Amino acid sequence: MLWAQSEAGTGVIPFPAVRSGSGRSFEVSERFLARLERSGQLPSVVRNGWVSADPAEECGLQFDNGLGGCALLELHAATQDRRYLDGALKAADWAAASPLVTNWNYNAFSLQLLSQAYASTRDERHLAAARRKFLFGVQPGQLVDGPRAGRWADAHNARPAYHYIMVRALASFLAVMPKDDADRPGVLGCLRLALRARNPEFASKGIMNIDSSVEALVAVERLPAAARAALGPCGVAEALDVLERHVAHGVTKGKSSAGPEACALLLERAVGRRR
Amino acid sequence: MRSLLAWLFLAGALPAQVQELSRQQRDSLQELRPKLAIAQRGSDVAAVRAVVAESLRVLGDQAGLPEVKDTYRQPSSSAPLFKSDRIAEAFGPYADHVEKVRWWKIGLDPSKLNHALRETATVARACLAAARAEPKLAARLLPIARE
Repeated sequence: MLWAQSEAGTGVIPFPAVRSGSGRSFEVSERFLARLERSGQLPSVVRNGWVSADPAEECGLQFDNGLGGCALLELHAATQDRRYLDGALKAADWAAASPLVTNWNYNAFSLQLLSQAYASTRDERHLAAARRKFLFGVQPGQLVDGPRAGRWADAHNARPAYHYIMVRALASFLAVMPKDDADRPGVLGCLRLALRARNPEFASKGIMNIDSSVEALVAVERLPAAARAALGPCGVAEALDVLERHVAHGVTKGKSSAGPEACALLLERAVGRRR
Repeated sequence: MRSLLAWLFLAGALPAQVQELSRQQRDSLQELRPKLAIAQRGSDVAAVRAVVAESLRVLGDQAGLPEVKDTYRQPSSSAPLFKSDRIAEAFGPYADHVEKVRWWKIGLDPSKLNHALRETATVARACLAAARAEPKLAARLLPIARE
């Protein structure tokens, strides 16, 4: 990741400029690259084979940049190797400068990275940028009343995978917010609504998503006790138990039903029960 | 005939599962998109909320329905949770797989790469979490996370 970031040269953890790649992310990328080609902007955007900028301001790059930056922060925490922190902070600076977009989950990736960068640096710029992503780029899209309160209103972000991407970002932001922050009640309310909208489905209807929901719900379960108390009952442990039993069953049968990160997080959860 | 009528009646009574919009609704939402983008770049949250409120009026009872129908896998409700003394055994197949597929090499040609860096991010985080859960795995997994 650090090598690719350096090759791209703009601070972003980039996306490969592959034409005709397979899979959903490459289909989105192909449309983006084709538009840039038509407008003559492609040569200025692709650097050393990586998509390194977003003149059309669609900001799909926030996806890989956010996840990559968060991984670099974790690597720094585990190794104390300064190169990882430097890379993560470049990615965070890119995210802070990236414009807000109408696809709420793209903003959520940057919200998560900026929140976790603030946890590492206590640099107020990261908190301010995270706040803006939340207030203008994540919270407004959520339904606050009606039968689907807590979901995001648009059809794309109403899907479970994106719903839990939003939950994970909100949990990251709540984890680092000062206790007396004026926006803390808004973050708590947004997260509470989101959890109550979807979590009961795991027990009542079944599993509609594994990886994204495990990553999000583990992040919520790890929130400080005061934050969890403020959230109130949201069915987090119940939903995670359903998911953990399902993933454990798959591992026993030699059929992995989750990705490596979700499985590892659930294993950490198992160790946490012993402590 | 009676069962067909009963099915039709029930199907009509079922709540919608996928967002279905008319051409007019889709066009109206398309028109609102640049307005939302402009509001998001300003400094007034109320302006963002006003555009969202307009889009909610357009969506009506379709708000919050997904673009693809949710599908639910039956949970293994009687299966046990993970055992904390079997971490290495449980993560072993994942570690084997990750070691086998490592495509992330410095100097690779990104124009021929059918992988996104989100994959390396999730592998790094997985290796770090598994190593935290079972320190015996650290010697094997931390070098992969650092690649």
